[in-house]
Amino acid sequence: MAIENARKSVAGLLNAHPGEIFFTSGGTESNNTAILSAIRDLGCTHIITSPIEHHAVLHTVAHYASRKTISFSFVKLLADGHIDLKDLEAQLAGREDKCLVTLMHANNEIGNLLSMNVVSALCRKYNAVFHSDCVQTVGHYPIDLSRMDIDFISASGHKFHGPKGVGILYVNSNVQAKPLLHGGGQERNMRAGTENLYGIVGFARALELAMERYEQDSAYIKKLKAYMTTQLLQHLPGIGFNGDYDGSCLYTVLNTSVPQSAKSEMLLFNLDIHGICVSGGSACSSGASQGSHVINALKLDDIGVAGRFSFCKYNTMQEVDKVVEVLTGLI
Amino acid sequence: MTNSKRIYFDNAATTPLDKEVLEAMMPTSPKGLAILHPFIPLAEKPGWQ
Repeated sequence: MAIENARKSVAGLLNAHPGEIFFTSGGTESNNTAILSAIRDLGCTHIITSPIEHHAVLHTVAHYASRKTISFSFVKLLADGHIDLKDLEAQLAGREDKCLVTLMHANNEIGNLLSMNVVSALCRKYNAVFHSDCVQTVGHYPIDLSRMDIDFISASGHKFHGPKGVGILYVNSNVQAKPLLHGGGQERNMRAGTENLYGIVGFARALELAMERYEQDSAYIKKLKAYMTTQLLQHLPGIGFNGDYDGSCLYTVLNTSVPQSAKSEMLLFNLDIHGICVSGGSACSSGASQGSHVINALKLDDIGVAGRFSFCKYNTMQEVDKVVEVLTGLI
Repeated sequence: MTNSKRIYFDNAATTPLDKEVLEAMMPTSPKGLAILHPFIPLAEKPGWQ
């Protein structure tokens, strides 16, 4: 009962049918399920994605491509990190086999937002399947799936003050998808394994709260981001920002770039010593030594040291002031 | 670490769990009772504040 109530609530908030919502362990499982289903169940033999997707998509695509049964290509990026939609259309138009297009709604490192409706229309025009990793936007934007012609979306609870270890996969009712996990009839035979009951209830409640408070929370966080941008520009000459930070960009993310120097090389480490938690890339690849694959893919002329500042409703202007003060001392 | 209070600007990785969400997830909370299985009571009911 609790799970079905949660499903109805989530479906209502996303303007989907409850039968289109499947609870999973999180965004990674949802992405894996969607990609496998597109290949195995929907007959896709080519995948078009971008080099700045989360590894949950990139590594999954690479895994299936390594079996030589499918191929994949990257869509070009514009200078500001947005997807080159002309290149996407050219690639779709040039293929005779069935394609899966998997592109994230908002990039988790630079925040750039995808024009979902444009990509959706292109996918329909060329009979391609469309999946979007919406992990950074579900709970942060009003998403109306009844007005979005898309086959799959993925979301994760801990991105909007819900619990970790729970997510959803939306599967359009027109799609006949089969499970990733086998051996149980849960989730209407779509996802075997005992359900994460507490997580599912938490996911639904978190989404309810996020949407109830969307207007006030998003307005507040936008102010925080704008304030930090202004303060950094004022106090740190030479600082830059990666991505379309003041354009079509997630209001929760500000990706900074400081010039390479002996001091800035240890920036994230030194911020941590000062009690400031930021990221140089995706948290899921923290510890990796090769830097951010997203920043590398932007092919910037002048690559600085990247730092991703990402905000929530609990952050304050005073915290921004403190971070700017510390950064000014460090660089 | 030199500061007693950490500043968390990594919310794109993980956001803190809302108290109201936690309450909904707790089987013994007034707002979380819906989670309890109707036929299987808790082995030991902890206090709730």
